[in-house]
Amino acid sequence: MIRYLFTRFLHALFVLWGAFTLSFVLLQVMPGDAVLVKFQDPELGLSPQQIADMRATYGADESAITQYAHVLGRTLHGNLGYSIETGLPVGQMLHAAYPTTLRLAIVSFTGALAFAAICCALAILLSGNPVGRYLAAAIGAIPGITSGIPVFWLEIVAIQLVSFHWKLIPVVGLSGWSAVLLPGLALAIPISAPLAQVFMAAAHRVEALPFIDVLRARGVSPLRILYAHILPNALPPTLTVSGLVFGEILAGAVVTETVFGLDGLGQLAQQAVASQDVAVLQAIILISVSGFVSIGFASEIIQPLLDPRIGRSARQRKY
Amino acid sequence: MPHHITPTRLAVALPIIVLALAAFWPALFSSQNPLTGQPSEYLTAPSAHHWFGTDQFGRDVFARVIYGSFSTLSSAVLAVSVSLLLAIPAGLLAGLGSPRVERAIRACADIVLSIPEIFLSLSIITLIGPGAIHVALAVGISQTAGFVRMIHTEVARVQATEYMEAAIGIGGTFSQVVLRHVLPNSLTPALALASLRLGTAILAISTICFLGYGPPPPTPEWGLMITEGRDYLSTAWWITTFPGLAIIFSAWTASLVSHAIRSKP
Amino acid sequence: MTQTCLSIRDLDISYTRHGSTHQALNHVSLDLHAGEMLALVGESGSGKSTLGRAVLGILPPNASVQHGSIHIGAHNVTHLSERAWRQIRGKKIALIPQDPAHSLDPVRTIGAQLAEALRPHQSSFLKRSNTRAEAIALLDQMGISRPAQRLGQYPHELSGGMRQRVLIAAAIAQRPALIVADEPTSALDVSVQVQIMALLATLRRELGTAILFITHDLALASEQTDRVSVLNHGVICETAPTRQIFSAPKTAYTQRLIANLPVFHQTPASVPDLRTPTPPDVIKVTNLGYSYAQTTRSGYRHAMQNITFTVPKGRTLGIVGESGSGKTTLLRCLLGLITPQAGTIELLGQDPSRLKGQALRTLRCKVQFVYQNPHVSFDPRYSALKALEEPLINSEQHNPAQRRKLIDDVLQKVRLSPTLLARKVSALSGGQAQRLALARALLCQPEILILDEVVSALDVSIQSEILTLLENLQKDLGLTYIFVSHDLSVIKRLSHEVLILKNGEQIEYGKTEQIFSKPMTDYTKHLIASIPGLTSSPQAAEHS
Repeated sequence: MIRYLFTRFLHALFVLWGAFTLSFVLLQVMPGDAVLVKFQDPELGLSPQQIADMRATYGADESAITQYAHVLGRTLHGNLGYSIETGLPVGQMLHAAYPTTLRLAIVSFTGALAFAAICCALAILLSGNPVGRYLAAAIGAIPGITSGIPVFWLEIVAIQLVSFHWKLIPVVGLSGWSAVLLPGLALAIPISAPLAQVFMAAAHRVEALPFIDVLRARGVSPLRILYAHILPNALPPTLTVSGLVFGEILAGAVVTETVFGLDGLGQLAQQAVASQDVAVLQAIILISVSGFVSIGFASEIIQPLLDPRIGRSARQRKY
Repeated sequence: MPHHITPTRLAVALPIIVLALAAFWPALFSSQNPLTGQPSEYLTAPSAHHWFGTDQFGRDVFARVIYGSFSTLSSAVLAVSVSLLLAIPAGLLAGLGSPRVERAIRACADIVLSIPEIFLSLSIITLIGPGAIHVALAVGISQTAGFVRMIHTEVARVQATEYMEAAIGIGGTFSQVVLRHVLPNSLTPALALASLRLGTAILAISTICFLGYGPPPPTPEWGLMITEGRDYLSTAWWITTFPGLAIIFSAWTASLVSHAIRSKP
Repeated sequence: MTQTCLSIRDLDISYTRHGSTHQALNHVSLDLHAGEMLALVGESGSGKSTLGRAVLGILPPNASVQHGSIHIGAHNVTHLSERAWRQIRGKKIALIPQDPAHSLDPVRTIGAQLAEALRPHQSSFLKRSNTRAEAIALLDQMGISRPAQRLGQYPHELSGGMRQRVLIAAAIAQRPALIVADEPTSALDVSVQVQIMALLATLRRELGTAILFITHDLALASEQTDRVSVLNHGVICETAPTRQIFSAPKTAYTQRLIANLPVFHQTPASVPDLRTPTPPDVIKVTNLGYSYAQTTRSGYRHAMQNITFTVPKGRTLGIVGESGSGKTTLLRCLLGLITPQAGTIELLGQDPSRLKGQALRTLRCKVQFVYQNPHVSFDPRYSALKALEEPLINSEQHNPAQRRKLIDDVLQKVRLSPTLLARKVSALSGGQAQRLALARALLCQPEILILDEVVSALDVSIQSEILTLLENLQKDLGLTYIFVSHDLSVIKRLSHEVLILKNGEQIEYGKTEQIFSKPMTDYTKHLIASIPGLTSSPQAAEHS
């Protein structure tokens, strides 16, 4: 088991390095370089000498390999470089931005989980009933529709209804958790779709297995079958989409923070793209890949705990 | 095999036909001009004359939604085609090649998949610049790794079946067996995924256009229309609402098609 | 006699699918008395499982009881509500399911599942020490070693036989008066099957539980049971004491079922004429060995070692092995899908592992393989015709007209109607698909057929037809067979020589007659004794 986890850990490090390299190639090597693009703008009125100095400061005048070695080296030392746009250290900018995004992610993930769980429980419990079957089918179709809702549109509609029309939550002048409540819940609706879809598919597969009939024949109640047997069996496959959900939340954060004017990582990424601030964008990519990789690693550790059949070859036999 | 027109088939076919007509023959639905409006009629609510109302320049929102379908749908089709074009050779190579090739391709796919698609698309756009076709390319390239992994899994699955073993057993050569059995049986699920991905591509494209990296105004593009309408949210809800519904409708149609392909016997 | 614990009267059950109705059971009446064991025998599609599910009230939603009644003890359960059913299930009636591998929750421990069976309406488990003690006692009663330790284990850590014992323990947990055993041994090895049957007999004797024993295997039904009911297309055609069914079957259907049983097949395998000189060997296997690399420290695990045999042209070698005996590895080596690490294989004078390209393909055609499950050995998109054309297209020697002619000829040989050619393979019945698989193999003009459990998935009557077909093909075409089966009675009927595998080793090899009359090892003796219906019929007779 330990050995298996160690290999997975090495793989995670490899993926992290690969993503770093890929983003470096995409952002810093290909089109001349960002400094040139940024400061050649005639409006800034910089002399060629000044531009050359700037390039030297940012290390843009060296060969690609040297730059790569330099950037990799400083990143390994925890130095993420300087923003071309603001001139601030990227680490400092990220430090200021991450709490908002984290709060947003927590609210939307919790909301999505709750929404998906309610959908699934209703769909399964109702499907046993001859009349409820139609209602269950209707509930089962909800994730298919919510997954097609564009986040930005949903949020604009939410602002319009909740803030302007019903005047429940104001849009401006909020901070901390209250600022992310409405955006988080709006984001939760499309995020819940893949969770609900995978969980429902897994639950239906489990439901069709012979042991469910055996349990019924033993006099176990449908509610108990649901929470003590179907749920634990359907959970491990649902965990495998956790990485996907993480990606969706980040993608959602870019849009949500733009729509609601929140100062988070998503907003930062958006501005970095607009101003071609590659150091910032690369740092954000690195952070999200670390998040993705850690979530994958965590789910690999949790999976065998939820399903004893996984990783049994690596485990020590008790007898 | 006879093809009857059943209610289910009709229910799948109808939205596709509507979308295709809107994209390629927009004049069929609306006689109004999507680019120039009457400034006197700005921000009028939906009425018999302007079904979806008019925007801040007096342009007919219905006409803009209809004409916008070409931009979004063609970009989505281009994006998915790019993904498939890149992913099919890579996926087949991973599934049929030597273990070393397989490992290499899988490692590359793992790396690309670890970067959230939106960041990958945005990075590519910083590289190649904004614009309708660039957005489609960026979204297509970002989705490729998922396709590669999926095709690889399918090829591996088909290769492990008894009918593959039997096909080799009755004297088929490697290429015969691949052409007759591996390709058709592994690409059907890939096709189902492709049409599902058409839906996610529509969403991704409209998101990037919403952020302002798509075609410049006054192009009728659904995501862009929503950005433009945001400022008039409190007074003219129709400018943002209808393009959004159009996006939902097309994404939902894509999932219907995917479902129809998967459930085909 | 004693009180009736199950009484079914004039039961009609039908399924509705896509608007059309299918009558699964037609006026079925059945009585089961306390402590009695009744075998309900029927082929696939006879409605036997529907009856079992109806008795437990777990019919699928598209099935409905249209007429008749079911009484469990004094309760009329025909149209009981789900809530009322829960008070009966487990307490008055229990189920021993068919497939132990999928009948236990894979993510809950054995202990948790037994506790739930003991007290299905309470939720705090195993904390109460008496529940734990009861669970241990149950496992002990089932003959499971170290029962206290088993409670913490998961189903996948137990063997198939052990899982079935756990399921039986769960079934008797609340001491129901009636148990429905739905094909409880069909997924198990023959030797385990005997143990489970013995366990059922003990339970019945000790607890006085009535058992409705549902099976497709008439030979198995002859063991331990008091009476047999024969179900055919939803109608009970005969119910009689076990001995009477076998000695004096009344209906033609029962007679045919009995005649088709390989055990009762009196003609021995077409014994080759010993006066003619033995034909040359076409298969020579010497000291074959194969091991799998394992990730744990134990290093390599031998899948098989030191396998040596020869098969002369036109003869059949029967290979017998339970799961894990290494027979699959042996077959994969013979097919050249894996290369053995030790020993040599010679098929028609050639070593498949040394061949490449066209030569290998030619040899592959000469050595054809037929699978246990015919349906999955065909491309799901193919029609029967396309499947048969494939080997002919591969050989590149025929024009379409010639291909059609060859296909018509081979269909005649395997007795398959040409009208089926347009159908998808998945639309064919098991027997038809297996004939199609044979036809496809024959179109390669093989000299050797490797038959892997080819009749195990089929009903007895179809099984008998396929076996006869195989015998005729061998006689007409001079084919050499390697016939793998877990069913000794089938092996006995078809094989000239028998090889017995256990744990990857060849423990017995010789002439069929010799092995069946004078088995050398205890394992073989045990296997032969495990053949249902051969040795235990007298016991059953004693009982009734």
